[in-house]
Amino acid sequence: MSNAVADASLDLDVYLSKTGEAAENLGRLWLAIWRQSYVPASTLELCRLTLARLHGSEGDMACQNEYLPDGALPPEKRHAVLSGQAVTDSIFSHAEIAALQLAEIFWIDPAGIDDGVANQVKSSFGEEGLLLLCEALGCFDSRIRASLCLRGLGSLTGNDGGQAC
Amino acid sequence: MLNNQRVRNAGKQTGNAIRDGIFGLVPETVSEIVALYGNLWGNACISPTLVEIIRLRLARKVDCPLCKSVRFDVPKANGLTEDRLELVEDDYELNPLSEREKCAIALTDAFLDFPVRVSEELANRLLKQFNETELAWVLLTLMHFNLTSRIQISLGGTPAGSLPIVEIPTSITTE
Repeated sequence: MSNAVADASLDLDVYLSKTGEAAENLGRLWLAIWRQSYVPASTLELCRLTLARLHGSEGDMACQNEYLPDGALPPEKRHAVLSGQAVTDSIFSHAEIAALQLAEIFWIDPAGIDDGVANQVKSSFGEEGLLLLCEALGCFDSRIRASLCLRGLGSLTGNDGGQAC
Repeated sequence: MLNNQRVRNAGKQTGNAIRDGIFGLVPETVSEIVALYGNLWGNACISPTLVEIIRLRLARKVDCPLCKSVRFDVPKANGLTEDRLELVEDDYELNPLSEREKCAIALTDAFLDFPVRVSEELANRLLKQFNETELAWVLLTLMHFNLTSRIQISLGGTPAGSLPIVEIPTSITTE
């Protein structure tokens, strides 16, 4: 399913593989999100990094995403997102800023997403892109949360959750 | 279509509520989401009652009106009553739920908390109640319903006030 994790025994996906076919569904969903054509993978990665920062998940902020083509995400954009500058930074496109605004509100309180933010995403990526972006954000959020839970269980199970990317 | 729904329904007539609703707009992902519903309701090694308790606790905590109003038929057939679901509230630790159910609710709260953190005390309680495969299913349940609830809130329209409870067959999400 993923990824660039140094030690696969610590990986969330290894833990979830105990659920068999359901974990395979989740893996294919993850793959589909990175390979679709509605929202660029580099934009999704900016959103994933945003959620990692908001959750304070060091492992997810540090990890390299193998689904991202080489060079797709300039280091300065990655740095800006991880330092929390993204939404106002001029290095981002309007589409990226719209996606990042949605990501932050999605994390804080999805009921707080207003029509203005949703419409900006729709005008950049279309209706399907808005849905896909929300699916991706839901996956990122769920994976990071599950991984952080596993860290809490880690000392007792021998699994520290690793990282969720 | 609900008021304020931000993306259109797929407009298909498959009889599957997930495929025919907003999720159907992205065919690249919808089949896996449907399959996850199917596995959670049909193949999980935790009971449908526990899946429903986790789902409803999560729905109440993230405040998804639609998710809070839905009741699936499989847990009901498994013996889950509305009276029992009313125990899944903030003072649940004092209520006559099983320790296994209380642990699953506590993990749901930890999953949704900021920062996300499972205390050593909770970890010890969980590991007395669940083996690793069961815990993996609990986490997968949390991940799936966190995903679908947040999407529903973000895009599905937010009806004013609470909605009446509606029982639906799990088959309309899984087949």
